Amino acid sequence: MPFNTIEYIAFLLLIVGTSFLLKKNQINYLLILSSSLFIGLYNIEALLFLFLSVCVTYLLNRKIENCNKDKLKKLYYRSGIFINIFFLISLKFIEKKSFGTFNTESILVFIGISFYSLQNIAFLTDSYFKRLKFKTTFLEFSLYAVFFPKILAGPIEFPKEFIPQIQSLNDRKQLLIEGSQRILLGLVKKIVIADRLAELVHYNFDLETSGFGVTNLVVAAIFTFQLYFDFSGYTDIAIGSSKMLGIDLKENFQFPLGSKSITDFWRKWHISLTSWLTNYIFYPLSFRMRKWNKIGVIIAIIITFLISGIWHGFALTFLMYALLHSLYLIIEIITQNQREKFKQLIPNTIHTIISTLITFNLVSLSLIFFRSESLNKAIFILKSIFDYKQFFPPNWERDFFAKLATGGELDILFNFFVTSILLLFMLFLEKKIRTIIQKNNFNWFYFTICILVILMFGVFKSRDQFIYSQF
Amino acid sequence: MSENILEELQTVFKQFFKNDLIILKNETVADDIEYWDSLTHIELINTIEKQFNITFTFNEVLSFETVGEMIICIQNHLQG
Repeated sequence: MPFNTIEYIAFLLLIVGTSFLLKKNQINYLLILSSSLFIGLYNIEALLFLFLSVCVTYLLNRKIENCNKDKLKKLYYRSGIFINIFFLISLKFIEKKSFGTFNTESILVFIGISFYSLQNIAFLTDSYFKRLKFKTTFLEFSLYAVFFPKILAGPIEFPKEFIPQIQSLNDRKQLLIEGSQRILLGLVKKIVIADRLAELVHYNFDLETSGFGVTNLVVAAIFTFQLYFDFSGYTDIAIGSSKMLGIDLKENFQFPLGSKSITDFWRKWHISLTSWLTNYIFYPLSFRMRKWNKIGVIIAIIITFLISGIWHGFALTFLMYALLHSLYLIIEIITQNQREKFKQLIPNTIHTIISTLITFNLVSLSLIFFRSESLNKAIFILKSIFDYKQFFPPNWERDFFAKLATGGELDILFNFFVTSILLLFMLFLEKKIRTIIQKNNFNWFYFTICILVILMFGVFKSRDQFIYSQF
Repeated sequence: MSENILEELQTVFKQFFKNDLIILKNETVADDIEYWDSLTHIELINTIEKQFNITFTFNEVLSFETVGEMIICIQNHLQG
């Protein structure tokens, strides 16, 4: 039941409606039941696997809490981490292979094992280091693990932020309007922007990759927009759904495409994963190596990004994507003084424009690795971009416009023109829209426009999966 | 004592971030100071440890949310 379907909206409305018929202390049972239904309807094996994993992790957590011997406590903690990493790696490793009736692919696609395992690791770690100031019941932990708005692709929640909320649920009436308006924003971003760009990106990356740099550079930029609107659209729907049920999920994006540096970009892009990696990988590593000053930080950055790359999948392309970003960050750390001096020399507006453009292009270039099916394809694309002889095409109509129009027919070219206008509109107005819908007023104008835009410009034929649900 | 620590901490911050305009308060958080982020945080902690001749535990470092909390922790370490 992907988020961008009528079935999901009906399912959500049914759960929200039922929640108003129940007493406050009964709602968590409803949320567990509906989350199990959400998972089980898609794949019953996934539900059984999650149930087993929840039981094992919770049992080990209780052992950690009640154990007086440090060595034994450490053993329980390490066993829990090992089991979760084992599940994560083994299920990713046997990706897209079926063993008899046990379909591992559908488990992977559906339960978002990567997101789910990271939350279990966070729970065990915070419990082991006594960072949790509250006791968690089995029911509360189960809900933390399987809550349906975040099970597919996050946001990755920290126990100390999520569990206290289910221990005393917010007033849902206050959040109903805000939640539903946020879901609409997510649907527009996914169905109207990301899915309209998807065909163009698929054509140029997978079918007819251009040999000319400028075309590939624009396609890479368009994939950056597609990925952002796809993933942040998913997150808007997840956050909105959760709000309607009285729970605030972590924001995952803070308008990252306007970042002025790569450091700034990672503060705003996939925030929940970055926070997880910072708290559970980067900080422990850099703290241990803090006497080495900058060298310690640099080693910690490389290891953290390598883990992030492997988390995305066992492929050289993801590894290169991760290494490139660690290189960007290292260069930023080393050149900080020079960049600061440069900033003083030029007017602020010009500095903002230059740094935003450089950051956006660096991100786009790195995403060529992320999107390419193989390392060779990514290298081929990058070579065309950096070879000045291959940069500009001799025939712009055939090698540039026709490529962007996935074949070059006039109606598709017109479609691309419409998509570009919608994209620009959303890029410049998204911040403003977010501010408007955060107010707790039902905005009829906003609702009507969103529904009209979805009906007029939405892509309904493919019901594309969200990109990040594959991780 | 906490005022002295705040003053000394302010000097450390000014030198570390190369910014003489930094004014620390108990309620100051990382977002209030340019370049105080996850990449610089542990290096800053190391500088503070050297300045006050103390050693933080990892859990203490993770628990700091404001400068005030950092000051209380430094004070506890100094009092032994």
